[in-house]
Amino acid sequence: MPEWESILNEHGPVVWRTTYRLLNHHADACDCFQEVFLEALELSRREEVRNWPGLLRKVATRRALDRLRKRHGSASQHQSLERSPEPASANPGPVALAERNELISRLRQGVAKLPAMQAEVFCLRCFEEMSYQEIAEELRIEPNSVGVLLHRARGQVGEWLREAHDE
Amino acid sequence: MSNDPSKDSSSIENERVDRAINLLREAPVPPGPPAEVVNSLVATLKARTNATPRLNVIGRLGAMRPFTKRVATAAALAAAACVLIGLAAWLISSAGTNGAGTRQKQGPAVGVISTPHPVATAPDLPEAEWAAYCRALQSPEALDRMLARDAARLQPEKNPAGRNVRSFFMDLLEENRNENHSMRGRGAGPVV
Repeated sequence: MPEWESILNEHGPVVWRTTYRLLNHHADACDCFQEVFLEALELSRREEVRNWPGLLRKVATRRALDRLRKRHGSASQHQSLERSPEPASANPGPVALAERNELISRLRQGVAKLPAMQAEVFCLRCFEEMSYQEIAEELRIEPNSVGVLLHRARGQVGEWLREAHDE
Repeated sequence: MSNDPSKDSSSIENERVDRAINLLREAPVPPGPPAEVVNSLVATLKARTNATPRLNVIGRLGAMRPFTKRVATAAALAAAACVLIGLAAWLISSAGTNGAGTRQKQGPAVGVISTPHPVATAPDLPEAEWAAYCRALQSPEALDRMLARDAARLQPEKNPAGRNVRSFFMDLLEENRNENHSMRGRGAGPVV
């Protein structure tokens, strides 16, 4: 039986970072954080969990992407949330900050538009920095497929960013 | 954003993607969820862990270990196959019904020469003997031979059904002949 208190203490910050990074919205991230652990509980009942951080990052990415897609489905909410500023950073200039926020916002939109599997692989590799092998084990696919999915996702995201840049 | 003309468009695109990824990855994240959220989550998780899960049939199947699931699937398939085989055997072996829905009395269900007589007039013969007589209907000689062979046994005084058997098959042979003639007249081959 898993010790939830220790699991939350140990892996909670990672899950929070994963959800908040994609959602950029405190209330959404809180809800998503709870959903992740409740789903992890159900998964742990079905089979023994050997890699808690891997499982939690996968579930957190999946749930956050689901919410991101829902958000981008409704235009009004999408606008209000996407225009909300990022937390203050070390970047000094307002122009640079605006450009930075715009790029991040476009990336989030792009990730939300990707097919589910490509989006998961992209996030796990690029944001969570998991290895191909880890991703393949978590998603139960071949490591080669991880490479293919990542390549396609990067290409698609690059195209969207270029289009946004050219506008 | 780089505007170096020596770089091709794909490398610019890659750089832009990398930059966006780095920005998002390194974007500052505020401190974790509020303590009350974490506490209530821990309480929920503990309560749910201790509670016995109520699962329906599909949930139970999903919760099975892979080996058990495989065994259960194999057992279900075997049971379904048994039911199908039983059903097929019953359908093949049953006598069936005539056009009016009345159950056929005699003869095998497959390959029987259809008889224009009412079923009630058919002689009451053992199945093997009935099949032999049906085969003998192929030619009058064969039927004669069979009737001659069984003449002693089929004498009316010895066997009340004897007369019935002889007249029944002779009538049937006659009707088959007539039918063959009429079919040939329409360009068809023999019926029997």
